[in-house]
Amino acid sequence: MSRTVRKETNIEEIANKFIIILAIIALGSFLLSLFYVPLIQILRFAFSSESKFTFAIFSSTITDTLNLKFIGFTFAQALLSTVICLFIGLPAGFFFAKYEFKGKKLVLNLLTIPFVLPPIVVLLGFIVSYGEGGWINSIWKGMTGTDNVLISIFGTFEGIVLAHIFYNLSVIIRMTIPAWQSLDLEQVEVSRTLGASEWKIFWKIIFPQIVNYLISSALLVFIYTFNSFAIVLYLGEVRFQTLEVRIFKMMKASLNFSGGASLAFLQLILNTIIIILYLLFERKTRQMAIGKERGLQKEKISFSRYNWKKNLSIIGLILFMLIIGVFTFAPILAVIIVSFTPFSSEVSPFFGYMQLFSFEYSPLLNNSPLRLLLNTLLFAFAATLITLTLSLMIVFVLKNRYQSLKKYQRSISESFISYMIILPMATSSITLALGLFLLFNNTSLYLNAVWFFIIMAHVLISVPFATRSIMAAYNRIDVELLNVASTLGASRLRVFRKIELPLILRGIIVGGIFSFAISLGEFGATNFLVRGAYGTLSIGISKLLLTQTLQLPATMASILIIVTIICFLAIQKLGDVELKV
Amino acid sequence: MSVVFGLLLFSCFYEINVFTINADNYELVIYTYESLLADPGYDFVEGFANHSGIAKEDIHLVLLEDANSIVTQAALEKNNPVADVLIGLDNVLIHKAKEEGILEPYNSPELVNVSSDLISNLDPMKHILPYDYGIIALWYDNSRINSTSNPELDTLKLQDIIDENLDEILIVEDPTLSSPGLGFLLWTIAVYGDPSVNFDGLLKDDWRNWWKSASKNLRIAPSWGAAFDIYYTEEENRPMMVSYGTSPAYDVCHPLWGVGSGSDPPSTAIVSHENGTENAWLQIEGLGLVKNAPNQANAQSFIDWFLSAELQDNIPTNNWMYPANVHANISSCFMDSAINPADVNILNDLITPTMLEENLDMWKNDWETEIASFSSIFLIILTLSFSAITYIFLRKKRE
Amino acid sequence: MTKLELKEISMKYERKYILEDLILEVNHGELLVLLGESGCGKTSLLKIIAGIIKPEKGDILMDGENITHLAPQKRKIGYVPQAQVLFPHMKIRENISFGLEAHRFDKQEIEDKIKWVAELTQIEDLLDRYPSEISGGQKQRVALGRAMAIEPRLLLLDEPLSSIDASGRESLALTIRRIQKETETTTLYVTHNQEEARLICDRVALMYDGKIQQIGKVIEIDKNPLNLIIAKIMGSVNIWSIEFIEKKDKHSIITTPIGSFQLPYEIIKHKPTGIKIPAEVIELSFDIGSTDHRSDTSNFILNGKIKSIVEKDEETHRIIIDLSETVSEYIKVDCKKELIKKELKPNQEVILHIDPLEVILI
Repeated sequence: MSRTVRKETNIEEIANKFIIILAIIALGSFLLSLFYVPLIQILRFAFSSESKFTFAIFSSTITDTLNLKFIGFTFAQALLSTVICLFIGLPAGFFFAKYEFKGKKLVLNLLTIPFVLPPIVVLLGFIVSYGEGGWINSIWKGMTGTDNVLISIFGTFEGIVLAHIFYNLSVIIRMTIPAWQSLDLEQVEVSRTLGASEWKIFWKIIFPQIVNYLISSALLVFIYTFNSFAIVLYLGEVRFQTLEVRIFKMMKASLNFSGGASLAFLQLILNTIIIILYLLFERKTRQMAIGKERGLQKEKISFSRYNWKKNLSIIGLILFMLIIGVFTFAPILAVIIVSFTPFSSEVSPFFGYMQLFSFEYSPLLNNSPLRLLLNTLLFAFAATLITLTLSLMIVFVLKNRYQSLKKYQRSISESFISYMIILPMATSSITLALGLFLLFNNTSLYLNAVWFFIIMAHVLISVPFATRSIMAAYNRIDVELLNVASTLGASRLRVFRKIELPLILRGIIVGGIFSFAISLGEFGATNFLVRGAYGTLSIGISKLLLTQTLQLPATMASILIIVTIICFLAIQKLGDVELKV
Repeated sequence: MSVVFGLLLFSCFYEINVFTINADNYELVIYTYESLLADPGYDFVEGFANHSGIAKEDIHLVLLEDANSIVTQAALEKNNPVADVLIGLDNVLIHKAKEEGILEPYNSPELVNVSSDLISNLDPMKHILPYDYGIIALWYDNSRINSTSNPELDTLKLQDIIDENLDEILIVEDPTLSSPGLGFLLWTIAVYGDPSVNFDGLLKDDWRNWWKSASKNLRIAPSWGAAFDIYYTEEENRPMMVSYGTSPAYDVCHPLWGVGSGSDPPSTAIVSHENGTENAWLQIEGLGLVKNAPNQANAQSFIDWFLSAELQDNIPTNNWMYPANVHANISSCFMDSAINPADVNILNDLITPTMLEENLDMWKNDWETEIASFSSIFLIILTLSFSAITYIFLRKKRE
Repeated sequence: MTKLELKEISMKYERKYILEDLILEVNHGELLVLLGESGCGKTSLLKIIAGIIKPEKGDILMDGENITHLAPQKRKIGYVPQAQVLFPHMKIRENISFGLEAHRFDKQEIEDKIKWVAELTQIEDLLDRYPSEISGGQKQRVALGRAMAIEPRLLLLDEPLSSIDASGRESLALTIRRIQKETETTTLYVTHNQEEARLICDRVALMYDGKIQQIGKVIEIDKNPLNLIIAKIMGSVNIWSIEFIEKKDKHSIITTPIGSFQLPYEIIKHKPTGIKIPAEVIELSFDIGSTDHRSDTSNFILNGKIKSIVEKDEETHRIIIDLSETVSEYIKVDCKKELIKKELKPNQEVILHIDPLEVILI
């Protein structure tokens, strides 16, 4: 019997090796053909003229005064948005860490919703609420009786920053909650007995403990705002352009491919630096979080009859939270309300939903709204499937202990691949699309089946997210489990199938939902690549964004909102959301 | 699983395949922009299919976002052309198209029915043949603003837009993205002139000054459609936009919502009145034959048909422009409500094609610079200094 | 029944050798305890034998067959790691059948084996539970059963009792011993606790500095520890290092932390590193004033105070005496109960008499 046993394990082992090789080939060819070669193509445009290397294009592009202005703007708006987010988010995080109240989780989730929504939906909600014709300004006009608006969001710096705060505030809130919770308060008590002033306690004791959390969450917001596209494209008019918008406009409007490629390269470098910084600090916070259970004593919201000072501060905090709540959640609600508000007296409240099935808007949308919805879902499903397959392959290859565990250090392939996937992470969606466009635009596949590239762009954007989610689940597996399994005679493949796979299932599902949600609302790359009838709901909304008939785009946005919220709640059910890159 | 694998393996080999498959088996491939003849809609593909006997399925119509993208796409495919005909390039974009060398001159027999002025104004070399034209004009909604409330409208000068605060109600299109937007930019350049290239224009001033004063209050839309949407939304309080001299006809003669020629027009188009003339920029749209087009013969017969009266009759009330073919039918409703380019001083004559070709990129770039000079520059300094302080603070904490 | 031989196994970890030319033989059907301080490389050695880590140098032979380069899957070695790692998503039954399925046994065989293993490890009533629903001791039994199910040629146990509460320890130790005897499985048992070793083993191997330093039966090693470190690892009481040896004719004087002893013989052989004073050879006298009749000038005498008294077994008390008056050391004395006539109280002063001939040099 033992003879046959051995033979079969051999076959399994060969199968294992075969699959690993296959996975490496598949991964390599995917990344190579859809990421690295396109990237090289960008470099070619940026650094070569008539097939000779030249630095002139790049240097003249980035020293052009207009470009410099926009680079400056990109930094300035990102910095300002981040700093304001920090100032609002930190006390809000404190509130959630400190106080226990009914429906706390719900409130926190509601606050997070803008962040997980597609940017174009957020933009629509923002325009509906804060635009010149939006309800805030309408109320203001009604109150003051004049035609002057309170806030002007189009073509103004404040508009963009406000939109970014609205979009990213929840990142800070969610990421500073653990900071407050891991605070070591004993030190605070000690220094209080030593007579230190509250201000001094904050700077000397509290601040150093939360600073890493602050920096990593700030870096995250910075990354998002630095690479902001849809919001700046529509709110900035031409006056304000982030690098992302600038690249897009250079490509599409001026046909300045070399210039666009140069800026894309610059942006890639900057992003890589920020991402590496972020990963560094994020690791630090993770180390800090380990083994810290105590922290802020949770309290119920209560008022005491004697301590009016405390009551006042609680009331202040609650008011503050209410304002934040209205600020962030009202636009989302407004979108749904608008989708049921007839834009003229002749149509029904369900006009938008009925329009989904008509072709009336096809000339504008290149397709019926229903087809856009279908496209969106199909792309999202396909992208999720491919993303998960690729992410699993990455995890499988990276964690293939069959080869690597015998040595104690990380294998070369492991380090190599983990570096290979940092770069896609640091690549903005416009740059991804740009690379694909520059490499493939005159292939007939691009002309006739652009959906393939749209899906692939979505995959490239979501693979790092999904991989991190699965990897996080994987790293919780006890290595000894796998050791035992292999001594029990299970081949590498069997261990993966029977032990690792079931144990990372949650990570896979979360990663899958993540990539589904990302693909669902992806705008930048899709907008860059899209041709003809292959638009998605995001593209449809963007085309109708500035129309008088906001009912239809609001309807499309409501569908995205509902699907995204379902995804988000599903992730919440499965475990804590990691709102991280 | 295997499907995905297949897809992935395919993804690494398709490059080889893609370069060998070519343009499928269409008998005619047309690139145009999304809104050509689209409102209320004339199916010109079917029209040509009926005319030529080519099956409708064999004609491939590719709709691109705007005229700019048509040139982009064709330029990218220069060495391996896919399209046969490009429709929708105007008298400005022609320079880009020529620069890229994507078109081939074609002397269509139908050109005998087209005014030679149009041909020479658009492209005497006949890379692009004119199919419609119209002037760029300022278009406003009579119900919200009119010559009673704003008497200056009747004899409007560009300067009045600033002086009478009309910039606060005006929507312009981004000239880097939209052709009416670019037309309006050239309008201002032709009127004010550009000392940097020794161009006097009408007023011997600098066009940049006008934009500098106006830019703060203008609303800049990415496209004509977007501008129209803002214009239409009353709450936004911008009842005037850069559009065409033919735009009022849209409100009067549209088969679905036109008020009819008898009643008061809902909107008015105006031009500017410098130096005692009515001045406007003329936009001419044309179509062209792609160099090395895969289906050259079909492309030529399509162009002939497109310039023939059969199609040209549809131009006024579907594309809302004047048809290039002098024999095309123009309804009296259209004639009555649209500004006829023949009645105004065409500014295009001031800017020679060479001047345009040489300076267009610079003008666009300068326009962007004028617009982007944001007043919030102090905010940047503020943010930067703030972050510097934070940084120093952090360093101090570390020590 | 398998014979395991390790030949000159070396392994580096972060540039330091944690195993260096290690040689070890485990005989057919024997339970060998590998005893050493934590961090001495015991666990690494087990992993090397199991095939999870590859040694830098050396060979592993099982019944003469060199398995150094064989994949862990093919070694048929039962490995029970220190942490109680059961597959958390599988029922106990599935945990046990995991290895069997991997070895492609048919269904009936698997059923039979599960039954046999469950009986063997006394977990019959746990089979349909999940690992999270059972106690630590039970988990360890399952882990043991899971390893035994594939009928391993060699069983490797890594501190199997370490995370079990005291009450379950002995019974688990006995179970392990019983299973090992019943199945005659050659077993390598790693622990840092000498009591466990005494409880269970056939032979014990002492390991430090990356090498096996001494191997043999417990009694032998107790009697003749190779050096002070081994004596310490073996948990010997009353051992002290020798600080200084002075040789005079016919006798030697050795200096230790508790004082100097004059030994009535010459130390000829190897250089001893320490002394051991067996607890049972020390005699106590409680009357400080009166001179004891047994007192003899050749005896070594120490003064101390009683620190505490514990019952060692039915016949003896173990008295811990504080020598703090002379040095800050404790000494343990075993004393027959019958010899203690008076009631002993803490802090009572006592005199200790030690016969130099009974002092063991290590």
